[in-house]
Amino acid sequence: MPSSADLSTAGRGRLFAVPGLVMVLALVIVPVAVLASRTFDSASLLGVWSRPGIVDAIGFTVVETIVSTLVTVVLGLAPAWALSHHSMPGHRFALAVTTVPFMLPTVVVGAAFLGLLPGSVERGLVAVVIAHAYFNVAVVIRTVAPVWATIDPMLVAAARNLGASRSRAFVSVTLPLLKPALWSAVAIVGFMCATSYGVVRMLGGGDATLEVEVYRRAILFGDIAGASTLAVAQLVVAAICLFVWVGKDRVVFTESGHRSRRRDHPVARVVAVIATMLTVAPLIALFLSSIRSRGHWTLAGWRLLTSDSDVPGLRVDLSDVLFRSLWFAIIAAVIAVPVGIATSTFAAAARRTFLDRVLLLPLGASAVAVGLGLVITYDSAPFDFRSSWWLPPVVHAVVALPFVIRVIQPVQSRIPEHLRSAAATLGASPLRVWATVDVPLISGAIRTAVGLSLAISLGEFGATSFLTRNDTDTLPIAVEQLLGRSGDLARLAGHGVAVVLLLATLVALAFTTRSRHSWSAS
Amino acid sequence: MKTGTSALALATIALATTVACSSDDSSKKDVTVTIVAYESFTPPEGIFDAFTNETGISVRVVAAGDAGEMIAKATLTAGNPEGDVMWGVDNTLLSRALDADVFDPYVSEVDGLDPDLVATAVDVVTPVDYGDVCINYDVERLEQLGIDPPTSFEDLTLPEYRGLLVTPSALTSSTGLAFLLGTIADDPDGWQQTWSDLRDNDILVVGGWYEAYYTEFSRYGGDRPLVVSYASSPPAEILFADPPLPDGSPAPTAVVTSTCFRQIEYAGVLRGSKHVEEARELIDYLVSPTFQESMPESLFVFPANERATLSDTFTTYVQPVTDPLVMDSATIASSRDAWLEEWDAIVG
Repeated sequence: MPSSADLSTAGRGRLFAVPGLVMVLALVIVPVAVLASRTFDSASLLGVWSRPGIVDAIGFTVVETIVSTLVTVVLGLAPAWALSHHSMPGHRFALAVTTVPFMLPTVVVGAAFLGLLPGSVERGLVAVVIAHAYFNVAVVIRTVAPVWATIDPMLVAAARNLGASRSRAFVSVTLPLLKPALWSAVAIVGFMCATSYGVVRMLGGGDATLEVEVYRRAILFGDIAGASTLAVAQLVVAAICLFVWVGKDRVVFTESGHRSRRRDHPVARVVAVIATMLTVAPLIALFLSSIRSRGHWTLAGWRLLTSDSDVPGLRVDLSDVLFRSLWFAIIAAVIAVPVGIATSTFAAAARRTFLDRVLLLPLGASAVAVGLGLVITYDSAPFDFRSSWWLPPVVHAVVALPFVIRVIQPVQSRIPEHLRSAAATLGASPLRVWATVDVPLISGAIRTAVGLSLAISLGEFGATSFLTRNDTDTLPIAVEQLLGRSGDLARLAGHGVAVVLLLATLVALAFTTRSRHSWSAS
Repeated sequence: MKTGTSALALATIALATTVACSSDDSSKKDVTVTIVAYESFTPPEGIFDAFTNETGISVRVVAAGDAGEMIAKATLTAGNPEGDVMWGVDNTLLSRALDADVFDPYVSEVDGLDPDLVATAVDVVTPVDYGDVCINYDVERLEQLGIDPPTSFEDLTLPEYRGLLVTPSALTSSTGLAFLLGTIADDPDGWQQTWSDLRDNDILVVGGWYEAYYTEFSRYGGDRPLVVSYASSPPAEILFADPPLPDGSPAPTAVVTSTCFRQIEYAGVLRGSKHVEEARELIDYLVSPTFQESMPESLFVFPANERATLSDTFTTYVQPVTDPLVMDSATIASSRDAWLEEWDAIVG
């Protein structure tokens, strides 16, 4: 029986859930629904499915998602283990670096990555799976490592003493304890792979995902009715997947005393170094392509970006674009982090993961449909926000929200209730309890959440690329503009802006990631 | 739903410290006309000052996405547009804008407009520029291979050009689509055969122009010396070369002019604009020599106004395309989907 105190906490918590729900409703679900209803015609509701390519796209999406997710999660376990059992010098750097690819627009890193693939890897399923693993392995590391670090090593030692082999101990002791975190990773990675656009367009050869089909129908064929039918179907399937997952992905309750001592382990060191190097290689290739042209070292691209000289056709004001990107990122963080804290407070009080799942839905929505939907949903006064400068950062905040919640909620849910009760008994008001008990305990997680949402906003190149901007280019858009032109200087400068984006992301992540608190904190 | 939305909006407005307010003053001296354009619309800074000084009308440019994304949004917002003037709908997309009744009727009558570019039987848009999508080749690499540059689509199906060509996909790239339309304009009855020959000759189809040009084209480290790009790419290879090319050195890349497909871009007044008169004045300015002369260097396209003089840097390096492949937008509109499906079946 829940006590009356618990019930009131849950009741109060319900209010905290409102901002997050409103954001997802207003900026994702309503726009897609408006798009679908505005363009609805019964012919394309059924007709679109018989279009050539659609059935293949569904098949490819399913296969690609399953294979990519499996490969990513399995590959991610090694670095997750290494980074959870080991505090080596450069730990923080390794964690930040392995997260960077996840944050950057795929066009930028994708090209560098493409250059490093062995020539024998043809465009198609294999290339797509490798790229997805590269981009999403951070999710596994960030989700699994913190939980792994809290598993009491004595449990494994006990199993080994009782005669279990290493693998047996892993399967029957470690794995069950990791299961909630693994499910969480599977959910996010699965969504990212299922709605993949950039990677599939670049590396898929002839194969397309449903997301690519939505783009083709809407933009190339001008069949927006067909596109929104597909987008709604995709959103519904995503929602069903979420409901199925609700039961499986419970918040982990680990008593905080069980944190394992981090022992230096040579294998862990090797694994961490390899993982870091594999991640870094395309990033270095990217940097080189901003300073190397025709076998020469050159700073021409960087000079173009940093001087006032105006090369016709390659106009870019780097400091202007950089500051705007940072400003947007700050706005996004200022919205996403408090909303994320409020949502986590509710979820922790109500002991519910349902809400958290709903807030994952934006990751399963088609960026094309959301972008077009936003344009037609908020198109009449006083809600004509179409070219409002603040719309892109607010959309960034929705994209960042699920990650923010993943960081804060596990920590908050682990705060022992008796600490709060003690404070309340001593006469502290609920706000005071929150400020003096909760906040200090989740401050590390908040810092991480700020870093993640800054990084996500900096690199966002999905729905927001559809929003009409009044002279408000961000870093990813400047990259796209420059790399749409021919010539060495265009290529050098475009990659230069990409490097700036990379560094900004890295700094946002490194300064806010403490080695112990990561994606979901330990 | 609307209340939830407004709550969010209010919260956001409260958060923001500065919110741009647009003036409702409709006196002519204080009107701002908004141009909706694709993302790569980068006219020189200050180019609208002359217009503003003369008419008192201020100009604002809002941009997003490529031309296809811009049209998709315009068709959805027809009658309640995001601005007053649209820049850059081309002949491969025009029919979609016409079907959705995006424009308010107006065609500029400025002197010097190239009559060949004016859209037939269309009274809502004015041509503003044109450019060509053509096969480019790496001069040096072809010399090394001892192969002459191809001179036609048929050449590309010959064994000596096997495995040399890369193109962006017609299904994901407007450049790729233009190339496909070029092959159809060249041989309306036999293009399917041309493409199955191209496929058998190991043509590489990639997602977008960037991958084709900057990863697969031999000039940028790939192994394909032939790439589908623009007629303006070779001049850019000279102007933007780094290290700079010595004066008088030949262009490192060139164009197969017989493969060039002409893209004509248009501008029009958006239906639902509250400043129709001013928008029309702006269209006139966009096709005036003053504005048109700035375009080759800032947008890499040719002016639609024949009175605009081209700068030396551009004319010196560009290969004239005297007999481009053309197709009117109505033909494209009626057959595009079927062609793309056929093409996908051949190449996919």
